[in-house]
Amino acid sequence: MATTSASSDDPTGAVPEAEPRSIFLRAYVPTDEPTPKRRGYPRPSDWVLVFDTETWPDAAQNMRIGTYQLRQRGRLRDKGIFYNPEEVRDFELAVLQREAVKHGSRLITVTEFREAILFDAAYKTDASIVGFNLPFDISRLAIKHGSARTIVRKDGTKDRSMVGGFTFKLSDVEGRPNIRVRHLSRRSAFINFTQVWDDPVYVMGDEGEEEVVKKPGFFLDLRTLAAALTSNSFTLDRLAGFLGVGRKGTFSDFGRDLDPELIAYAVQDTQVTWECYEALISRYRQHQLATPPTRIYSEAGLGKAYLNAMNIRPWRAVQPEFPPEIIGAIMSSYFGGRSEVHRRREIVPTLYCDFASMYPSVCTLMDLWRYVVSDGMTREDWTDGARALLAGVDLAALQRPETWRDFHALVLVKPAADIFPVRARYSDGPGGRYGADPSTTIGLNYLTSEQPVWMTLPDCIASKLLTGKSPEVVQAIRFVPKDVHTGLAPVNIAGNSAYGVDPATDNFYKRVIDLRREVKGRLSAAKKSGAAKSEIDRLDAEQLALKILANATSYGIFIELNVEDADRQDEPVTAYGVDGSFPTSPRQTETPGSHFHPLLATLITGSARLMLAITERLLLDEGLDWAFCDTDSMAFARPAGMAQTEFRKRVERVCAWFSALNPYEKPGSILEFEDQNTDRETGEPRDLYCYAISAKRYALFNWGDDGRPIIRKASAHGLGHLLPPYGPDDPDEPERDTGVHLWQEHFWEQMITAAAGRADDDDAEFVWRPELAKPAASRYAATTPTVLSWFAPFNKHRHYASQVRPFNFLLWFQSKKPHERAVEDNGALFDPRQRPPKPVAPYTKDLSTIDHIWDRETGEDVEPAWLRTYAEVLRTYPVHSESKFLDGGRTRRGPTRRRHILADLVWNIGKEGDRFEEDGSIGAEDDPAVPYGLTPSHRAAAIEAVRETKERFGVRAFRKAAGVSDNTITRALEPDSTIADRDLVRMRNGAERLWAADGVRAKEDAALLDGMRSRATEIGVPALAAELGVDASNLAKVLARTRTISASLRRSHAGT
Amino acid sequence: MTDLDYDLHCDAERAKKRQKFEAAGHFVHVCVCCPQDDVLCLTFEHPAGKNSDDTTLLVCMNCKALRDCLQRAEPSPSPNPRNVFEVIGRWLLSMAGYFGILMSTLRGFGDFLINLAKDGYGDDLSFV
Repeated sequence: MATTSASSDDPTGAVPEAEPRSIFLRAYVPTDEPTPKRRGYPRPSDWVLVFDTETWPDAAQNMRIGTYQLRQRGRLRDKGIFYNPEEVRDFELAVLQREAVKHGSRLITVTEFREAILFDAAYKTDASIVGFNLPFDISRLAIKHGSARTIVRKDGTKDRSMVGGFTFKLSDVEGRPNIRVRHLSRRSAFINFTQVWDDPVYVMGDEGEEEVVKKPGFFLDLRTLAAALTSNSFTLDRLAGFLGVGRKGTFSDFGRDLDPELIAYAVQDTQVTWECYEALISRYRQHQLATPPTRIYSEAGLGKAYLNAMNIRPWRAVQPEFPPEIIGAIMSSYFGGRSEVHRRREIVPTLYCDFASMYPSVCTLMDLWRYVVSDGMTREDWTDGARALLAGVDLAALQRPETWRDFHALVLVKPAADIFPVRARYSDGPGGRYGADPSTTIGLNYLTSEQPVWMTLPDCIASKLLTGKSPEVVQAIRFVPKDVHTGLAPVNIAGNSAYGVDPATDNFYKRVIDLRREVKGRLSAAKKSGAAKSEIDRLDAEQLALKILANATSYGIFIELNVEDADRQDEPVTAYGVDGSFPTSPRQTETPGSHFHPLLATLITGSARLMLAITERLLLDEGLDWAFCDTDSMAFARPAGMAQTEFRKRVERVCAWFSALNPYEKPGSILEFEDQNTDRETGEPRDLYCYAISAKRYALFNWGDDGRPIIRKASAHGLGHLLPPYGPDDPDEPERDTGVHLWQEHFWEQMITAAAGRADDDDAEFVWRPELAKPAASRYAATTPTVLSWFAPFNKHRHYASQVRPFNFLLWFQSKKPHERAVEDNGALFDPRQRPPKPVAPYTKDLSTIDHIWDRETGEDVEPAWLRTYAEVLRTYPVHSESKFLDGGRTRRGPTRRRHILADLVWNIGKEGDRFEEDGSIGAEDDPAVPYGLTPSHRAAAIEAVRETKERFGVRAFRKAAGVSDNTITRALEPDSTIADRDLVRMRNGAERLWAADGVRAKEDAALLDGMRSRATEIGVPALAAELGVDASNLAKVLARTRTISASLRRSHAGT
Repeated sequence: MTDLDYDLHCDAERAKKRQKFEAAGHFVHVCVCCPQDDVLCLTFEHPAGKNSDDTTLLVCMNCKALRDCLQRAEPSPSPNPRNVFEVIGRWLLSMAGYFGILMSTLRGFGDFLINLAKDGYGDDLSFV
């Protein structure tokens, strides 16, 4: 094997000193969700109600008028304008009456619209209820709202799908259903009618006629369907442009009196919405899927619809009996993609490459499709096989595609300075070098752990490539797919018979990527030959559908876990993690998606990390360096003194290595040079440079003739929450070809210029335009009851109509800390107890028009001096730490080094939830995860430490050292103690401090070691290990002082 | 009542009926004996009789009337209507009845198509 023990972070190969830290592993908590059984889908009727509302631009955003169209089979049957009598004055009503006649529309009140149109016409006929950003429009129609609750089904199971959402009351008429809306993302929401108690339907059940009261309705948000079909976010106007239908009018002054122009705009809005609906439905129908479009919430939904069309039964449905302990082990080995910065805050000459369709490619190489179409999987012990494979694997073996088909294995390893993905809290607290970020991040670091951990086989191979040694294998499990299940049906992708896929015989991912490459080739040929626009559009839509399909079915759906708030009264549930089961009472539950298959997800991301590890190994062997990597891409860095042609030649050699792993028809390497390496105009190679700050914060650029950087690709990570301080971009505009908005491009130019000048850019000010001196604003909507509760003080004493309500858009500002204010304002009396305000304002695209900013908690006005400006917010961006690595501190620049983590405590966690709004940390990099608690072995060890400490030092000293009560210590030592992990860790830390201060343990350990050494001399290490009931190799390390004495060894020794 | 009100009323009734069928697991709303697909005209049919088996199919009212007529000519039930042989026997008789009705539908449709051809329709069509 052409590897050395040196990894890229330290040429000498020296492993840094170990630092004890908690590490976090994913766990699995089974839910009481019934196993998915699909019999068919209710379908909407041929009626469609399209509507839209226009509101005041203030904080309450009350509805003024709305427009609707009621259509049957596309034919317009009714259209009208509805108005809110409380918000329309007499003279405006006269204008409305005139304009309604002019537009051939009925004029009705909003109450009439709700009762006669929404309920009598649309609800009762099962019409599709269509809008653009429907949650907002529905909330405008509401007369009251509340939080959505858990529903207990007839069989006793619970439906929590809408928990965390809102229930809207739209009618005072008894028996009319409410509408429930649960925000999922900026692009999608679950919307349905609640149960109704009048006019029920009866069906024949097991015990005679039963009432059926559930009628969820068919809501279709065009924003959601457009995103699922195109992978893009749109405004209505941009969607209309994209689909080539009539454009929406332009209008911005929604605060003025109702006039013909505003009314015409509203009428046109609904017409455009209808036309977009028609165009999108037509696109969707091309796919010829049985799933109704109202059930497509994302690209993944489209992928699942294809899997359903192929009659693929989800793994959980075909193998519901699969042991949860194994699922727990699989989940504990799951980590996301690798994203790191290696050359930090330096301008580095670079060549930028990425893997073509990384996830579909590794799926194809490992032949994971067999698992998707199989009747489940079997497993077998493969400990010896894994040891043998790890001992023999080298770059030559990895270059053979057949090797990758043996990677369907998980390995229980005992890491000893092996390089593995490590999820930890790397920051070192407020004021520390690495910042105070409390969230967990994943870094590929050296890991040492007494507790064995599960890793994927590809991760173990990656570790060997980077360290030169095989990890110690404790156990390995190999998985084998069962037979292909019967009844699979071929499909035509995008409805084109030329794009047929037979799930039983084709490798789906390979077929789809091959088709896409073929279509892309035809598309570029069509463009060159000046083919008709309709032909180009058709090919473009087809290649897009293929791309979405490949991505949607090759990863995300296998690890889909929907996080929902748990009921407080719930009993503890059993969780499964790295070392078995344990009870937990999580505040949230994770409900697996229908195609949940964590083995595939963990193997896919593990293999993608292996691809990057191979790249790293190869580039080091070529004498190169790297600047950053991000999931499927690598920015190679040119070493000082190397000519550009030589650099390019060596990178080409690295890329060429991967040609052998190309599973597709089109020849070439799967590691490809990106367009950024060539000139935009000429397409000739051009020197590319990189400036990277931390993971996912980087820019690639060329130097212009004027000495200014020309951004080629940049990241908006950590900037996306800020509204553009200046135009022409608005927050909904798409990114430019650099991947970011114009103002973000300018910001990167400023940072690079400052870094190039090296005029100590640590404190660089970024005020390149006057707008940067304005308060930094972010936009958000009150999408959950928790976020809305922020406005309780503001809403108090206000009439419902003037309150901040669900889905209202607002602006959020960052406020300065009181001590910062005191520094600025000499006259201000600094009161350390003063609470900084939490400023908000009504939403507007034009920030210069904001005239009222208030504290969301008190409702009091906020002085502008409290607000951080864009310049102040951006100041910290270039010094954002790369805390997961050494030398990644704020002011450090240059190469980072891998940390060496000693797993001090191992915690089980759930999915990182998308709750940044609620946590009030807009712009944070990672979101807090669902905590499940310590692993059982670490919990037992902590309790043992408490017992020992109490016996040794007494309750009084222990209580003082740990900062807990006597009662807490007593509870910890009860049989089957349920004491909280938090208290247990506090006591364990207190115990550590006591033992350290006392020095007793050190003496005891020395005596213990002497005793064991003498005994080992007498009877030999293996015999002593057998006597103590411990592992011989570990014991040898302890005797050689390369490993500390564990609590279990102490216990074993005491027992003898 | 305007045309719109009339259509909405009928479709509201259709929606209720669809919901009823879907709750019973029927997502394809077509009569098993003829092409009738207006849910208002469809109803549940117990192929082996209500007393023998809970399985249902969807048939239109016309076919239901024909089937009921045939059913009256079937043997009277045994003392245990859930007897396995009784259930299978009733199923088979039902199938025969449905096929009988279906044959008449197919004959009628076949004749209809041939008459269309005689009138000159379909000359511009071809089998792919």
